[in-house]
Amino acid sequence: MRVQSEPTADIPPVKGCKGRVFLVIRLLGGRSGGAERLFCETASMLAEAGYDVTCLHCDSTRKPPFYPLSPKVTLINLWGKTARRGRFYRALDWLSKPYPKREAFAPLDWLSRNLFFTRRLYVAAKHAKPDVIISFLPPANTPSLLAGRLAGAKVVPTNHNVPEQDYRSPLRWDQNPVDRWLRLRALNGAERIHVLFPTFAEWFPDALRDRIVVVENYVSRDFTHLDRDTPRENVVAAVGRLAPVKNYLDLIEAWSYVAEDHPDWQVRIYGVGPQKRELGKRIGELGLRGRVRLMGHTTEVTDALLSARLFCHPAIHEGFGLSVAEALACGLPVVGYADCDGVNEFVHDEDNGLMVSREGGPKALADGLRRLIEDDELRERLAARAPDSVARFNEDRFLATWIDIIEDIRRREGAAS
Amino acid sequence: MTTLSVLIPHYRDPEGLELALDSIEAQTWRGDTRVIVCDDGSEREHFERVEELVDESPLAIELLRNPVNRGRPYTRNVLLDAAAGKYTAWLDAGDEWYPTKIEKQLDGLYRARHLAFDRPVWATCNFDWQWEGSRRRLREQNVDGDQLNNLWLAKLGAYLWTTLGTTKSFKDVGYFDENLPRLQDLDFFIRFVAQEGMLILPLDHGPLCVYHKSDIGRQGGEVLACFRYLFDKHAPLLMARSRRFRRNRLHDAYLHAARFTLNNGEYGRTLRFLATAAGYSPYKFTKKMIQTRGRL
Repeated sequence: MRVQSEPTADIPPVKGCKGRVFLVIRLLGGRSGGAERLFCETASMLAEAGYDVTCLHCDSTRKPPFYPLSPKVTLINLWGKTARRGRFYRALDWLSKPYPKREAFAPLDWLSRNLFFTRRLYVAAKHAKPDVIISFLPPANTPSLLAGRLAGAKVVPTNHNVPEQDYRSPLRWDQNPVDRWLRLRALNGAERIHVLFPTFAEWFPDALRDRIVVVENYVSRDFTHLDRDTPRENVVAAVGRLAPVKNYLDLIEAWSYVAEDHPDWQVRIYGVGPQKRELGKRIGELGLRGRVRLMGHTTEVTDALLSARLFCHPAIHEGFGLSVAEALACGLPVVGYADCDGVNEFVHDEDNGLMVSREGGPKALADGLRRLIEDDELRERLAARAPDSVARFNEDRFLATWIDIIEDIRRREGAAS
Repeated sequence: MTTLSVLIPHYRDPEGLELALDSIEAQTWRGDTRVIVCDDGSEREHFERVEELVDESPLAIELLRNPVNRGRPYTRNVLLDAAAGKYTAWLDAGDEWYPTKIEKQLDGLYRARHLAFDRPVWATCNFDWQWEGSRRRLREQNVDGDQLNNLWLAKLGAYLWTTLGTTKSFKDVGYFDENLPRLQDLDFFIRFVAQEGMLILPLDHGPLCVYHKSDIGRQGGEVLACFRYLFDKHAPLLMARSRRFRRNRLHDAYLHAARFTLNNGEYGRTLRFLATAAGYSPYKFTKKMIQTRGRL
């Protein structure tokens, strides 16, 4: 019994796989950082958009990723316990031991840390021939670029921080001089170089500028269709890891100038991190217990932001400042330092927040907070402008930009071959 | 909404299709079933016979047709797009299900759900393997341990017509690789397991379907090329296996290809493939030749 007669011309068109993409990150198992979240979400989005997505990482632990991945994504751990414990690698580990006491052993140390991962990436890229390799964070960028160059694969390294911090900071990433040198040098082999904001491109040498692509991060859909007319409390919210780079000590000190004049207001800091004890101690020293509260980790960030009136983010620098963008999406005006890269890209003074001078320190921060607490009209004007100022950071735009980049690379590759 | 979609690619084999449709009709599970047949550009006389079969069958059958022959992976992709039921099962024209197949496999899937496996699950089954002119022999599927290894080792046969799963789980694997005229099933299974998918067996370990097998017309060179392509495509997965494992799989592939060339009378190629297989694993090759007394 025929249930549906299909004329021959109306065969459903087969879409087929759009292309093969490798996403590479060094460590993924159990890690809950922002880059890992973006990695998992980008992989899932591209897989749902029809790409054959393989995520590669190199974890010696067998923990699954902290963030969920689409069932359409293939996840492969390149770590091989037996292979890594082979004679060659054990000898390399032994030879690299004199570093860092003896600088001359730096190349061996670099090889000991990176050769295994690079070789595995090279074999994967050479045989599986992905259309594009997108690597996340410097520990994966350099090996991916080297492996891609040897295997003839197109690599797009992504930068999730201010370039100065990723490439020059004496505090971040591997300080081995070989790694520091290669980190920038290897970019010569990149097909495209990803940055978060157009201004970040200016940091790179002229020879690399034409390869730079800007993909701004996005605010989750949870923050886009909100009822912002919820009852608000007199709360200044702050969300982020309790780490020195977030500079919450300045916020606590600033509040000591404001607290007395506004006893009905309080500060709530959401997040966990290594600085928790130090912050708690400082709160006690300034007599602000009950007025500045460390709320710990919360899964209900939206509720926390929707119940507050102000958001303060005194960070030293940010890559993108996702928590700030989320606060703006919830209709909170932001107070921060004007020189905070990654935040000053979308928080503008007197438009959707108050950006104070860092030279003024906590006192300037306190003045900003005081102005917004006391001037209802100003606070409401900035709050009204806040959601629209981050409307462009949406998932659709993020995905469309990545697809444009991948398709452009595939088109050029097709034309070249 | 249809509960079960049965997807059948067809090319120049109306008798085989009739056999397959009869076996679906005989299923003891009587739920809402829709059969989708996609003809891959067979000649007019074959297609007319297929149309007759479809019209005569009491089953609800949707008939699709590729205007020209596009190969099996493309046809399977057309079928995958057309699948709409909650569950999907596959069958090839020329193969048969035994009457209790769907009933027992659905029972297996419900049990897997009851055990709260949070991974996509396909139910496979043991099956009979029947060479032309010989009796049926039981082939057992090994789903224990590392299923990816079992697939490479052929302990777990990558045959789509043995499987039943949710339509979503099949669509999540993606499309069949159109670069693989052969072994596209193996590629599909490998991708499924690599994406955390899991194959289970129903409680009944008896055969639930039969594979009518013949090597006639199977080109050893083509099979070998597909295997090498698969080997490259899944290099990141194979890296976790030992060098010996990889060489042994290449040995198996050359031996497999030699069987096809031998059965098709290509003796020169057979010798070449045998020599290459022996080069990859002399020990395994010698052992196999002693065990089988030189039969491939």
